[in-house]
Amino acid sequence: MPTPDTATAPLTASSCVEALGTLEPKTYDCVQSNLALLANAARGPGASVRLGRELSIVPRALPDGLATVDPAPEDEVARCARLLSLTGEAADGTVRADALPALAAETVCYAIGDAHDMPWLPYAGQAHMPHSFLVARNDRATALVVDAYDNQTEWGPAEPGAWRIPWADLPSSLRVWRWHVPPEGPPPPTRVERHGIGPYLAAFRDHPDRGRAWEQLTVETWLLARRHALFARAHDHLPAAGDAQDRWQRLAADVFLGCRRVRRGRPEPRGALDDLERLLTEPAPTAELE
Amino acid sequence: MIEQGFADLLADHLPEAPRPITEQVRLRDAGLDSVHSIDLLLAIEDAYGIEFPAHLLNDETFDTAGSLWAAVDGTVRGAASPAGNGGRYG
Repeated sequence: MPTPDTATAPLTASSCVEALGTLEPKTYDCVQSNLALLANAARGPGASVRLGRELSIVPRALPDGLATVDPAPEDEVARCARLLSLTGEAADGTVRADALPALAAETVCYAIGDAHDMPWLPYAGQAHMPHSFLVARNDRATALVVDAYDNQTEWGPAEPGAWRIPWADLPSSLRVWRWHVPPEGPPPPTRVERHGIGPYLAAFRDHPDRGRAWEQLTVETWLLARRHALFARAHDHLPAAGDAQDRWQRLAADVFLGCRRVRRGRPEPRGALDDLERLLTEPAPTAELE
Repeated sequence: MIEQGFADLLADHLPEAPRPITEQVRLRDAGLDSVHSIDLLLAIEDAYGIEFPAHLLNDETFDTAGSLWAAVDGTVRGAASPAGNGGRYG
């Protein structure tokens, strides 16, 4: 257990790079993974597992009529900071790339921007989505970027690592936070929250653009599989949590393949939406605690 | 014995595989990872007009060129059979 002095010391880029080997990165999404890395860098391996104390499935509507269980990035950052007992401040509004060297001069910053403009990712030039990374000053011309995200994408693998990137090559518009990691308190209580499942399922069943529905369904089942994996990791004494994790991973794999088939003009796979409904409406993995 | 068209299709997806591609070639050793295995699966489905049944989507099927060809051939025969057999042998 780190002493309070070390826990409150400024985070260093080298401690974040060293902590890359302490995460199980395939349990975190693209916003969570680098907050998890910060927690492990400051407090040691396992600190980030607290993110799995909550299982929150609260869909929100998307502009095209579909829905997502993915919160707005700022909301998810706030939720993760609460679970990890991180304190800190967000830079006002959107940060332009030319302001980033000053912000990252003395400590590691956590930033969220468009993955399309992050040259270390397979999404670069391919797809737009919010993505987080840690950034510190390397020298006048370059930033040290650390990113714990781990995923196989259709454009190649995104793998945890550290890169020296010219400041000018970072996204031109970012949200930026500077975190402090105080000594951690008692673990947050286990909490499972599920609301709005009926309308969520109906949005996918009824959407007129079936290709678009399956693209989003792939994202949803990927997120839900990771979320259940993280919950299972934080509750390894609950067999139902591990069982749910396995079934979510199978569904995510089935939907990924189904989406690729639909993209090629094939019929929609039967049963995937029924399986999704079954998994979302069965008793929570914590039922054995009640 | 794998069909020549199937060997050619594998060769397109596995540039690192030894030539000629025989039944014994291990697909992982030839560079097939999880992402490329989906691409290969879809290309096979397009070429043969089939859809692999879920029970064949496993590591054993994608172990060697021979095991993958056996799965393709079995699925094609199952699809052609009047009663169908879901791609199972026998």
